[in-house]
Amino acid sequence: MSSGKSSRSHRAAGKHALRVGVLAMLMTSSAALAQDVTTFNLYGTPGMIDMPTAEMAPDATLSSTISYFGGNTRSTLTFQVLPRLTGSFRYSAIRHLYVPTWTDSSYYDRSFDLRYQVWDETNLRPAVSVGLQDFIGTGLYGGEYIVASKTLGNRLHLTGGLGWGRLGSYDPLGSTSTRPTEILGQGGIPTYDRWFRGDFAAFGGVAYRATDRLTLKAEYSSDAYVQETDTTGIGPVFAKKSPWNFGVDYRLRNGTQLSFYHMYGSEFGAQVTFHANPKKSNAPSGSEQAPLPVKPRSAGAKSNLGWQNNVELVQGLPTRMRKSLESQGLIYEGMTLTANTATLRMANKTYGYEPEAVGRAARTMTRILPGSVETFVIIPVVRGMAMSAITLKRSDLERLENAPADQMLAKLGVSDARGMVPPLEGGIQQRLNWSISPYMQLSVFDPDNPVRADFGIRARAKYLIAPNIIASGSIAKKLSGNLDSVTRAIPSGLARVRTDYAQYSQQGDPALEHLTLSAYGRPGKNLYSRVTAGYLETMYAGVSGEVLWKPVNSRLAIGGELNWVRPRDFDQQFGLRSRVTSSGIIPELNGHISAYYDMGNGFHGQLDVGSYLAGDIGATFSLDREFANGWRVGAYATFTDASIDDFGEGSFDKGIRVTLPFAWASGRPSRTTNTVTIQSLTRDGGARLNVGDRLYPMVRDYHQPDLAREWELFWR
Amino acid sequence: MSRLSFVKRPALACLAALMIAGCSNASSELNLKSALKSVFNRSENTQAAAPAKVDINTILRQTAPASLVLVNLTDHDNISALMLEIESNGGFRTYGTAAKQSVTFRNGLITSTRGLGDDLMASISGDSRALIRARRAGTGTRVMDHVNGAGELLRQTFSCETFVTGSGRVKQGAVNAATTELTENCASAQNKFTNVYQISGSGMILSSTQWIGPGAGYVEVKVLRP
Repeated sequence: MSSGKSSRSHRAAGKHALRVGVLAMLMTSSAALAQDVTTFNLYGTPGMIDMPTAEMAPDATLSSTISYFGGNTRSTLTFQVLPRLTGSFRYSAIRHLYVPTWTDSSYYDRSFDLRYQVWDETNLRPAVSVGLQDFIGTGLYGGEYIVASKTLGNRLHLTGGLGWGRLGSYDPLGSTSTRPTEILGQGGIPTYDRWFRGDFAAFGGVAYRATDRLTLKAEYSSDAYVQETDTTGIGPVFAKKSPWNFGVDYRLRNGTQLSFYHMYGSEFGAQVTFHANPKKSNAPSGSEQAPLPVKPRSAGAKSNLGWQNNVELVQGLPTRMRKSLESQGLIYEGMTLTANTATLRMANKTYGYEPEAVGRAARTMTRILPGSVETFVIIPVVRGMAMSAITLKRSDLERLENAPADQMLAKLGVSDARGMVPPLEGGIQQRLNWSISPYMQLSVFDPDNPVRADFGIRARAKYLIAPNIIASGSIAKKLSGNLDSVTRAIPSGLARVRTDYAQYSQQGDPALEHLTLSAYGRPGKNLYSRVTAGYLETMYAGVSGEVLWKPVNSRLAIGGELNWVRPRDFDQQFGLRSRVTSSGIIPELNGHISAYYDMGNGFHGQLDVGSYLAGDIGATFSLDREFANGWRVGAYATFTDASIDDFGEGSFDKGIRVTLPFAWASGRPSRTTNTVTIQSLTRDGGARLNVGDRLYPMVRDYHQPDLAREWELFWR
Repeated sequence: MSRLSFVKRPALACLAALMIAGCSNASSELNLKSALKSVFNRSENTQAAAPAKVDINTILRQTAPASLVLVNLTDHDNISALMLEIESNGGFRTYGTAAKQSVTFRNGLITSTRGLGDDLMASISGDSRALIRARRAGTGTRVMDHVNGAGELLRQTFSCETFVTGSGRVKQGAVNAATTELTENCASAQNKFTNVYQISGSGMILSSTQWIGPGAGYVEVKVLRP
C-alpha cells in the first residue's frame, strides 16, 4: 500500500506515505449516510452473516470492514462502482490453516469480488444478483452465486440463493460439470475455468429490523469450510457443528455497523463496517467567505471610454485587482487592458473547484474594471504554463448572477491561451515553499508480517527559479517502525527494478526522497511539456521528459514520456549503483505513450503503452470513477511481455487506488488531495518510474470537460 | 523585516504543531488540524457572525442609510447576524455579514446564500413571488438548486400552496407597519417546508421564516430598515 498527499494538480505519483488523517477522515465523515446503507456481512459485502444478499449499497458508497470469527480475520474494502455493480478487495488471515508447503501459523490471502444486480426489487419481484467471489488469484474463497432478496413489509427481509465453489460445498443439491482445481499461471488470473461449475447448494436467511438501529439475523450457510475444518497438520481452524448462523447488527448514528454473531454452532464472531460516500460529507460545503457580488454597470458606463485618459485610474487598476484577488485566495499575475477587453493572468492555490476560482476572479473584475470593458479573458497559469483562456461576457455575468449555473455555462468560451498570456507583473510573489509534516509509511501483504509501518518526519521544499523552472526536494527521517525488518527473499526473473525495496527501506535513513530541477513549457498549440532532472524518486535518478497534447475542449489527451535512469544507492543519498542486479541489467531507457479519455458520466480511462523499468514491454489499463469534488476510486492492471514465471506470484501487476480531497472532509476550499494505492504485490514486471508532477492532472483542471463538470460551483 | 525573520516565525509555530498535523509556509494550504476541527465543529464559522450586544438604535444610526436585516439561523444554534445591503442587481439585493457571509433576496424572498455552508445556490420562484406581493392564496412551483458533497447539482422542484393565515403589525428597527400573514407549504420528492411571511401593504416581506435547504434548514429574517 502506498499513498501520497499532494496538491490537486501537482500529484506526485507513488510517494510511499500515508497521511495520518486518511483513515480518520474516512471514519468521521460519514454521518450524513444515516440509515440508508444495507447490512454488510463478514466478507465486507452487502449480505447476511457469512452469505451474500442481492442488495446494493447506495451508489458510490465506499465501505471498509474488519471481521473475525473462529480464526478467520477478513479486512475488506468495497466500492459501489455503479448503482448495480459492486467491487471488493479483501485481505484475509486464517489462523492454523493447513496448506501444503506453507509454514507460518497463519495463512494470508488476497481476494477480489464482483457482484452485479440483474433486477432491482419491486413490490412484486425480489432483487436478483449474480456474484463472483475471489475470482482472481488462488481462489481460496472462490465461489459464485445467484441470489434473490425481498423485503416484506417494513421490517422483514428474506434472501435465498444457489452457490457454487465454496458456496456449494455443504449438502449440494446437484452438480454442473466438474470444477477444475489447478491454479492458472502464478495466481492472479481470473479463475474463469471454474465459474458456475461443480457442485451447487442452496443458502438462505432472514433479517428482522427490530428498530432503526437493531437488526436480528439468522442464516443457513452452504459453505462447508472444508479446508478450515481439516485436521491435517496444524489444523483445524475451527470445528464446524452446524450450518446455522445467528447475529445482531447495531447501527451507530453515523451509519457504522457493529455486528455480533454465533457461527456454525461453535464460534462467536464480530464485525465493524465503516461507510463513506463522496457525495455526502459530514462538513457543510461552502463555508468559505462569500464571493463578492457582481457590480452591475449603469447604461452610461458601458459606452464611456473617458477612463482611458485618466492615467491615475488606469495605473491604479492592477493594484486594486491584486488586492481584491488576494483577499479571496487568488494570485494576481498580470493584466492587459484595451477599451473593451481585459485579459487577466492569475494563479489559484485555494479552490479545488477551478470554476469557483474563475467565477470569483470574474466578479472581482466587474467591481474594478471600467464600464466599457465588456469581455473578460481569464488565463489560469500553472507552473508558468498558460492553461486556457476562459472568456466571459460582462453583460452575461450581470444578467445571470442569480440564475441557475448552467445558463452561464452556455455562454462560456474556452480556448488555447498560448501567446495570449500577459507578462508576469511584479515578479514571483513567493519563491520558496516548504513544509514539514509527519508521515506514516505502510507495507502490507508481506506474508511474514502482513502490516508493517514506519513513522517519521518529512521536510519538503520547492523554490521557483522562474515561474516555469522549479527546484524541488524532499527528505524523510524515520523515527520508529519495523519496515526494515523485511527479510523475505522475493524471487524474480527480471532485473530487480522494484523488489529491492527492503534494502532501500533498511538503509535509507534519512532518505533524500527526491531532489529535482523541472522546467515546464508550451512548445506549441495544444502542447505542454516537462523536463525533470536529478534524483527523480527514491530508487532512480536521471532525466525525465514529457510532452502532452490536449486541446482545451477535447475529452482525449495524448502524452509521451521518455526517461533515462540509473538506480540510486540503497542509502538514498547522492550515490548511484550499478545497473547489474542478480537477475538482470536495469535498462537506462524507459517510456510510454499514454492516452487519456474522459468518458463522461464520471468515468475516466487511461492507456499507457511502452517499455517499463525492467525493459518489459506492454500496456497499463486504468479505469477511475471520478467526482467533481476530486474523489476518485479506480483500478489498474498492467500486462507486459514478461512471462508469468519471470513475474512471479500474482502473474501481473494490478491494484486499486482511492483519492480523497481534504475539502470534502473539512468543508473548506483546498486543492490538497490524498491518494492511497493498494497494489497487489510489489514485483519487477510492469513497474513505472515514479516521477513527480506529470502534466495531465494539472492541465485537465482548467480544460473541458473538467470545467463543465464542476461548473455548479462557478457562482460560489 | 528581513527574509530570515519572515521564515523564522512559521518555523517556530511549526515546532509546536508538528506532531499533530505538520505545517508549511503556504497560507493557502489546509492543514489536517483545521480540517479535523471543522469536521467536529460544524458551526465554527457561523459563530464568528454573532454580533456583540449593542443597542439597535445605535446600529441603525451608524449604518444609515443602508438597508439592514437581522438574520437568525434557527437550525444552527440560533446564531444571529446583522446584514447590510452590499449590492443590488436587477431586483436582487445582496446582504453581507461582517464575517463575509451573504444572502440575496428578491422582494424579500431568499434566492441564494453564500458562506453559510450547504448554501442555496439559486432558486426560481416567480409565481410564489407574485402571490406574496398580492398577499393572496394560491398555488405555484419553486425550483431550488443546491450542490451535494461531490459538487454535483441537486435540483428540486417544489409544489407550493399559499394561505392567508392572519394579520397584525410588525415593529422592529426602523420598521412599523400593518401586515398580512401568509403561510406557504412546499413539497418536492425529497423535502418539504413551511415558510411564513409578514407582508406590508405595499407587498414587501418585513418579517419571515424561510427554508434555505436540507443542510442549512430554516432562517428567520427581520427587516430593520427597508
